[in-house]
Amino acid sequence: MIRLLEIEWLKLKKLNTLKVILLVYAVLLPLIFYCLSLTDGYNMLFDRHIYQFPDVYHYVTYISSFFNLLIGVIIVVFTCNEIKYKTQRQNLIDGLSKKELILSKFYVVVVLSLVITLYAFIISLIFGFVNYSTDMFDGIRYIAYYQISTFGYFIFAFFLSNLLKNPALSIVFYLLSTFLEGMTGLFAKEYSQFFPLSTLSNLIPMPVLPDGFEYAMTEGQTASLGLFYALGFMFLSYFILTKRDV
Amino acid sequence: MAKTVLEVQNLSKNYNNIKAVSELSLSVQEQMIYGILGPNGSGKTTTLGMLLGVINPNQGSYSWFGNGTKDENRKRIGSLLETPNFYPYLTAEQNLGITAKIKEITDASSEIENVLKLVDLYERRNSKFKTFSLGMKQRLAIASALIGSPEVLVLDEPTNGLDPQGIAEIRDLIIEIGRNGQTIIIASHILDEIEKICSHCAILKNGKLLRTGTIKEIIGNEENTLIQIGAKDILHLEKIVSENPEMSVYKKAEENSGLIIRVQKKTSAEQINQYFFDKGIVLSELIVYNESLENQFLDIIKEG
Repeated sequence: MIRLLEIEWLKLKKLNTLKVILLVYAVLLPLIFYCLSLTDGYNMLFDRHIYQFPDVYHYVTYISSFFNLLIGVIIVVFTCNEIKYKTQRQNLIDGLSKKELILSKFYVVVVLSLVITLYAFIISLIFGFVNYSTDMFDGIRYIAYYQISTFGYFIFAFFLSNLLKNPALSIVFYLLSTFLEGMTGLFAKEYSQFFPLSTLSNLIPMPVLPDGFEYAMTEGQTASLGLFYALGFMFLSYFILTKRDV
Repeated sequence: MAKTVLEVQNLSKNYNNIKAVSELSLSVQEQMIYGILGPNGSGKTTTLGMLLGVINPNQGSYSWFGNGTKDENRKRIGSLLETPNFYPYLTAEQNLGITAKIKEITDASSEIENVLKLVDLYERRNSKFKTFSLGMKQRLAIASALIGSPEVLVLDEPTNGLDPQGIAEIRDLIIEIGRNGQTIIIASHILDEIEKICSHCAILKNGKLLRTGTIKEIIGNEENTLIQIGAKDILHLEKIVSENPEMSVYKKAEENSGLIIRVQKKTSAEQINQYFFDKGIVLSELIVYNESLENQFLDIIKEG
């Protein structure tokens, strides 16, 4: 595992896309979250409580989940590069197995989702403490849900890249997939909550829900199903790779 | 008997209806320099791709080092397949660092320095791959194959894109490596290259194996000599040749001026002349025919 991560790190550390997107992400998330307090809605809808425990965890992860598209783009670019430059092929020829090829990207996805989650956690802590709230363990479960949600989304980006092999196409589908799933959901309303992307997104639901709205699954069930989908996408990627001539 | 490095049995690959490789069987022993010769599209790269685990065969099997198709086998093989594949935004040194890491090479930095010097890229070790010329990319790919002195080298068109001086240098390098006892499998469409470098050779056409053997067996033709003979009545001449089991028509000479026939090496010109004279033909011409290697190769390809 360490060896595979070392190999991926050698490839990633000089990748400018990664640096630029992570920098943009790091600046935008706290900035936008802070800017909520400057909006009209802040006085009407929200209150100072969104910057305090326990709600701060929910709000930070909800806001940052919008930026997960950016991280998805990193994964798409990174994965499609390997196909475009035929370095995936070369890695195989040099001695990696197809399983290791998938595992090495899987580790990258795990690390990236950990970094993103940790960042959301730190931002939440800072806002929480600065705004005089104390019980930092209240609501912390949203950080755990966010970990599963990002992990699932990133694995999905990896899966799309493997399937389509083309970065532009993969990014377009990645952007459209939520919309497409939503359209499909219109024809099967009872089941749409159980669709993969809905499940992942419901892990961090809208903080302010319409009155009387209830999810069919408990938080724990949603988390389990989300993990199941994430692992499913990974095994599908592996399946595609073994069937394909690289 | 030398150890078998590679054993291939009935390997086949179809792309839709096209048979890219068809029931290929061959065997490579330790220390051979084994050439795979064939025109463009004859299935050389597809064959090597299957042997290196990137193309799934439709049928057949292969085994490296008597160890089957295990992924670890490839760490003992240095390969260049089709094109140089590297990360364009990384330098030559960084790219080779990844190869070394995958192959789990100890003492990677001195190995990398060593192979970069061998292919004359050491001065450019800190340049990004994307700034390299075609020839330099090719040389980096060869360097990458050489890392860690693997037991076997698999080189697909290694002199592609090199200038004449580069070609000569790389050929000398390959011959040198072969002398050190490494086994080398080299695919090429250039007969001259195979003939200068290799000890053994397989000839492919349309995915089919036409011949295998030592270079001498295949293109040297140790037992037969080619003789060009001429006479007034070519048809009659052809008939007389076919009556003699020790002779056979190799091909017609240009502009139908005569025949080129195969005879056993020990046969003298006198004996040949006598034979035809006894059959009532006076030869107007009787000379040893020197076929260029290039033409022999083309003829083998045509026969197939």
